[in-house]
Amino acid sequence: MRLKLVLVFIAIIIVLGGCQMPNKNPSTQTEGEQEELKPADMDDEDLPDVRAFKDEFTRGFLQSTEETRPGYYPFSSATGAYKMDFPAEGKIGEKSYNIKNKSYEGVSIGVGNEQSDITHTIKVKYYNHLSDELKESRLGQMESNIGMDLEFEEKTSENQTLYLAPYQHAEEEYNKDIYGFAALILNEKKLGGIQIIYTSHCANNCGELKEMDMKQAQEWLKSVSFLEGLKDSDGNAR
Amino acid sequence: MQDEQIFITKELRMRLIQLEYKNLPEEQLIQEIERIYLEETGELLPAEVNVYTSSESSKLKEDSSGYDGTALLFSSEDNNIDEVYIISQGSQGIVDWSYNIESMLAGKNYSQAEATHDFTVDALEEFGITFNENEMDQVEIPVVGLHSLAHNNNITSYLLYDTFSKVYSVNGAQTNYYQLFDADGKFEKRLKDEFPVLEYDLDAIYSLPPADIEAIAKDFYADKAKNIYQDISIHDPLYAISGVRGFFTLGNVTPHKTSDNHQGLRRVADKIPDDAVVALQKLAIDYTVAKENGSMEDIIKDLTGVDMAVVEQFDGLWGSAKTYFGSDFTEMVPGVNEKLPGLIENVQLITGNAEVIFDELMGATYITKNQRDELVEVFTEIEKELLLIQESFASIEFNRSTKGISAIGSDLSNAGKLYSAIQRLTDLFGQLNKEEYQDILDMIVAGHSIGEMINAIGEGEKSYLNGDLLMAPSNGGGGKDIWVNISAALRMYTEGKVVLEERTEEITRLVTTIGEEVTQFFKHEKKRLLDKINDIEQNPSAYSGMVQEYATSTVKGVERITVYDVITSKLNADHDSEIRLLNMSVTDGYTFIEKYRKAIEDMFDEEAKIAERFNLAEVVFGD
Repeated sequence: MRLKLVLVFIAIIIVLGGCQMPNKNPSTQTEGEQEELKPADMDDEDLPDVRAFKDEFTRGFLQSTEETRPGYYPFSSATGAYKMDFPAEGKIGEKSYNIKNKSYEGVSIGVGNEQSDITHTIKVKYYNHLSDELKESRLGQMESNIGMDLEFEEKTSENQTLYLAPYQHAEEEYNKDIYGFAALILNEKKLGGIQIIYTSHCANNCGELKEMDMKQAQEWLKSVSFLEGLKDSDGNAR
Repeated sequence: MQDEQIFITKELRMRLIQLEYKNLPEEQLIQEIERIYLEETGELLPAEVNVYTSSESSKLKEDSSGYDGTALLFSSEDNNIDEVYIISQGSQGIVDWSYNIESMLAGKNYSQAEATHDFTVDALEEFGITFNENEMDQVEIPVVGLHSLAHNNNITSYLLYDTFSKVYSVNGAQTNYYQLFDADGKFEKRLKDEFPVLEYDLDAIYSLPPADIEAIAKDFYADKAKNIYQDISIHDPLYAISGVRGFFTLGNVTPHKTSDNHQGLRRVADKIPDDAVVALQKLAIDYTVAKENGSMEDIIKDLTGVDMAVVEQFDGLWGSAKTYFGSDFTEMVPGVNEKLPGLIENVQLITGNAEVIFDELMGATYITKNQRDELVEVFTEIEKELLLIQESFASIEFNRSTKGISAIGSDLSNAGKLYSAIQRLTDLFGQLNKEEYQDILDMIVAGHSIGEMINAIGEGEKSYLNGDLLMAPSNGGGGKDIWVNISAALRMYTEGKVVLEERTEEITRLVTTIGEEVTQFFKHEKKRLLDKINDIEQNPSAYSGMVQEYATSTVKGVERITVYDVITSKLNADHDSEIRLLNMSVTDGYTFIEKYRKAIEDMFDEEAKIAERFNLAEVVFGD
């Protein structure tokens, strides 16, 4: 038996000589020259001590433990279609997370904790078939979703067009002061778009905190961008 | 806004839904709608029909949700009618199945509901109806959503975006409050008011008391529920699973018993833990979808990710070694890692609850004692083999990537294990594939059909067979078991008349032909003959050769030829009697059809408006 095995062994070396053994996990290879370990593959003690990394599901979307700016880490959509900054205290709802091939992805993020003066829910939905033609329909759907008429402001840049509408619920409507914005970002390079509903729930010191909070939210919105022209995880040019 | 006037009865709505599944070309669809309306009401459809389908919709051109639907506009200025019906199709293709299972049971992904709204908006624009997209509840005319399984889409679309003024469904997949929490921002905020933890932890909803959430949901949607109408068969497997956590029933619901054989699966499902019901349903659907793809090998590959063709190469030492290092195996790895753990989890949910599941199915007389025992055993074995496959697969993968070539010895035995486990799994699936189990599955699925439901709704006066309307005679014929196929009777009457008219036309053509062709030809030939005779009589010498043929001695000259001709003025063939016979057959045909019509009419009271149906059918379809 042993001899036979050795023969097989030799034969294999001759046949397969020079062939590379398959890589264990091709997705861990990055395009950069240096191979960087993804947070999902790191040991717990090497991860920042924030909610986003403590939650295993959320961690899987984060690209690095390096902050993109204070309090945010790089998030990349599993569709490979867009990226954004992810709040350190955010957690993705695993049960409501949904992806369908590369055509749709719904990410809902809850930010904060019991002690927070302001908590946030951020819902980001990507559709690969959104186009200008569906714009009105989708803006209308977001108005229905929020439950009020909105004034969308249009901002066009080279790669994308943003339709943005801040909103504020009346004081008596809910227990907390609820405000935020609805945004639709259409890709100008190809079909596809992102719908975002950003909701802030303010419990205390709202007069003081609100303005800053809204500014921060709109600043965050700038981080959402399409990954047009890069390669997807299969290595195919998109 | 006035109420709709056209498709107001349940029978009409259900037949319309059934019709949509046939994917008829536009012209035929309209004709069938007219026919159904006439059959059911005894009146002419009082409006023009316009059709718009989702495949024509430019907004849905790139849509990948799998939504499929038809919009119908009924309009008539004279009758003051203007109403739109949106028929969303239920599960048809594989895309739909997977969508439905996801949205219904997991309570997420409502992209088909969004597509429903997009399509309705598009259709209303196409039909030239003015409306404000943000105030769909203010649309001037009734927009009615009709559907069976697509209830979940239409209702979600309605609750979220006010897409319809009324929603009507048969055996619909119910709506799910987990899905609505994700989809409807207003409902989400209402829940957050009650449970602030949801603001920053969305998954927390699954640990909140379901009864509380359901109560809030019912209260929150109470106004809209008034415009939702549902007929539900207690034999529908979808009804059986709507006891699963997350589902709630909205609207005016009428339950129906559509079969006498069983009491339905709801009671069975209610006794089985929710996650096992979900697992069972998911497995049944994944299996059905995989089966559509083809052979047992395809099923195994679809469910487990394991490619039989690759595993079969682990046959013999040399083959195994080659396979071990080959790229085929590497390519299989991601698929197996993706599918196998979920499958095992689902199978374990079933085996973990096997006693309850199969005892309950036996108690409800869906399966026999022997089948119960076999199913428990088969599922236990399937679990065992799947775990074995997972184990050998994992160790091969681990050794290949870490130890490389040195581990091949132990791995070849793993490969052998994998090979034989797959073989046994194939046999076990084969056992589930037996005809007796397929029959049970078919029977369960039939509980979802509109066919069973529409029969139950007729309440003894109407019944349906393959889309035909049957009516029970008013003056009985002595028993309630006599049914008259009204659709077939109308078809025979209108189509029979068309045939007889065609025959009359043919006879007229024949008479004309006889007149034109035969008589004219006779005249023509007679004239030719007489001309020839004249010529012979006037130029006798020119015909001396001809006379010579009949003379015994040499003819020296011909002075005169007299032709004695007898030409009958009439044709030998007299066609009049044949024509009379043909005409009589037509008259007999008419007599027969009318007698048949009369016989059918006599079976019903005047209120049944059978005579009107015949009259109108003749006007509409008699050409």
